[in-house]
Amino acid sequence: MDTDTLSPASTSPLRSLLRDASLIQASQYFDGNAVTLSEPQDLRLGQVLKRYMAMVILNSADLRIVIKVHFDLEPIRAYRQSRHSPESDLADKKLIDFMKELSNQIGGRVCRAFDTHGTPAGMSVPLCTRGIYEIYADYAPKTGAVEKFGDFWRLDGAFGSIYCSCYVELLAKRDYSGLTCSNDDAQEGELDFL
Amino acid sequence: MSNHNELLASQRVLSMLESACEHSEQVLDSIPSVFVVLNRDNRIIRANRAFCELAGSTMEAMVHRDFGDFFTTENRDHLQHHFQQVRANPLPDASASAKIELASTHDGEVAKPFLWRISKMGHLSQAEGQVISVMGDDLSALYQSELKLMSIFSGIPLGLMVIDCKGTVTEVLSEYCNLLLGRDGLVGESLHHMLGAGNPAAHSDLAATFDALRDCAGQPIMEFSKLDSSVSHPGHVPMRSEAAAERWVRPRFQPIAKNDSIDRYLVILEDTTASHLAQRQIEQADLLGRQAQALYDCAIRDPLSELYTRLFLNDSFNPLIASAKRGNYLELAILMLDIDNFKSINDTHGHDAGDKVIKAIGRIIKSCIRDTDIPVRYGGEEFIVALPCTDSHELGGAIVAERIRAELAATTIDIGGGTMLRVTTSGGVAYCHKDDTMASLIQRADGLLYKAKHAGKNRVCVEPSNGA
Repeated sequence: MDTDTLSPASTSPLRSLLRDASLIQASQYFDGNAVTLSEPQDLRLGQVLKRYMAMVILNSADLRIVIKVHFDLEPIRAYRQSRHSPESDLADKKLIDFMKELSNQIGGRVCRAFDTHGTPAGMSVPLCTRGIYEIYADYAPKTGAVEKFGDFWRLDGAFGSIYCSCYVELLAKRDYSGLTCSNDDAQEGELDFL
Repeated sequence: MSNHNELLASQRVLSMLESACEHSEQVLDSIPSVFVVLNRDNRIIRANRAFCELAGSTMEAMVHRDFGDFFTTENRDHLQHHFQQVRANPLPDASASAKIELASTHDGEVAKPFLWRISKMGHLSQAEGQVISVMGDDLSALYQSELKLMSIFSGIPLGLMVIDCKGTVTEVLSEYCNLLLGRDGLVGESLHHMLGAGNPAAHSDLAATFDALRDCAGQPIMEFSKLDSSVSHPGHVPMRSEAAAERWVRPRFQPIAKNDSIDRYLVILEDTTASHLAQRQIEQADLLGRQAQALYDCAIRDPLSELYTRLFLNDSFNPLIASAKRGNYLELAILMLDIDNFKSINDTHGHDAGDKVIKAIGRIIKSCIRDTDIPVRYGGEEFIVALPCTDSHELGGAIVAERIRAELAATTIDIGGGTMLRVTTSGGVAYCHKDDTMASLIQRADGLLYKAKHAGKNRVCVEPSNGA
């Protein structure tokens, strides 16, 4: 991805925020298990990464962010069965809702970081669709009055592997260097999806 | 509050769109056809359930699998050629189709023929490139049905084929065509040529037929129905082959329409060899019958006297006697005649003279009897006449016998060399009794003849009463 012309003061904190938020939230969401973040191998941003993807959109006066969580159902099903009763009703729809909630919580964590930073942002309800629709996403970087950049990464844990991707549109020049994602407001407990 | 309601409404709309999208995806998942979406490298980025089940894998495992892995090398190249064509086509909705076998994914399973429809998807992805959708329908069942149909076609004793309007074979539907036309590799050959080869007699008929087929090309089917039936249904055509026995074929032509106009013809070749040979055998049997009849006619007709021979006596007298015994005749008389002193005629004047006498008496006998009477030359100079009588003449046999005798006695016979001869005859007449046989009847007539000879010749001795 060509980020040379983008202002590092804006993009680097945002990129870190999104990656950290997904890493922390995934670890919390999957029962506090260790989650590792890595760069995807042999894949490019914009490619179809998994069978499904859940997404949320964050919006503020200064920026617009789309966060996507790419996942397959079977590893999530296997994880849930290993943590809960094998006889549990693990219909596809429930697993999809489970992963939509993960994207929702990642988005929520990012929103909280913006709130702390003094740039409050609103967030959409999470949506889920098939991974194939990633081909319609536009990750092409932009510079100028509106800057745009994309990023994607991989999270591995007991749940297998998922990918996160995002693209960020910067509608106004702003310094996000103080923006960080803290782990101290982690939500305890688990939402009863299954 | 208003903003809150608008937010809720927007969320509701998004939720509905999400559901609608998922439903349409589930439709794609559940269709019986194989459906995949491929990226620029022909790697799968979307596969439906039918394809995953066929491949024995899950949808998750399919993402970024090489679609070519499911084909043999040769078929993969073939398929990729079509992919490239579709991608290179500038039309946004470019598509192509091809019949290509999907390689077996399980041991012992045979490769399955598929009809693939390849379509370009409008969007060009920066990461995945020009994506294409590929939908495949399993043709196995169709092929099996076709095989069954072909086996039925092959089993029936009809040659079925399709020709174009120029008479060139485009499709052979039954193997019987090869047998009837005495050769293999019919596709691309001229049916006119094959039917006409070695059949100069059928040349003009066939030429008229194939000219008419050509003329009907592109015409409405109704034009074909206006053709004379001898054109659309020519007669038997003999097929001569060095390798096979002679065959006879009757071609029939049925037009095949495309866009309401005649495009091709279905040809039905009927093997008429059996009926033709049967007809030939009937004709031969008829000829033999006529020859046998001619031989019989020769055998029963004496060329000298032009009367019947003794062979006919056996065939005709017994039915007459049986009929007389059933009362069909008032009387049945048997007249036996013998030329007087015939030996001395031969000895004195030669056998030619004797023959002329025989001819003369034959002529006289025929002139004195009815068509229903049966005159027979019984021996050298002996004659028998059967005289069935259905009218009221009593002793009609005696009357006829006397008439013959008198006519002969009054006739001078030119025996050549300016010599005229008078000849007499003696006769005996017997009437059929209820217990008579042909032998007994002739024996009695012969006895009466003998009596007439002894009584001085040139006379007729008649049995005293009618016994029939």
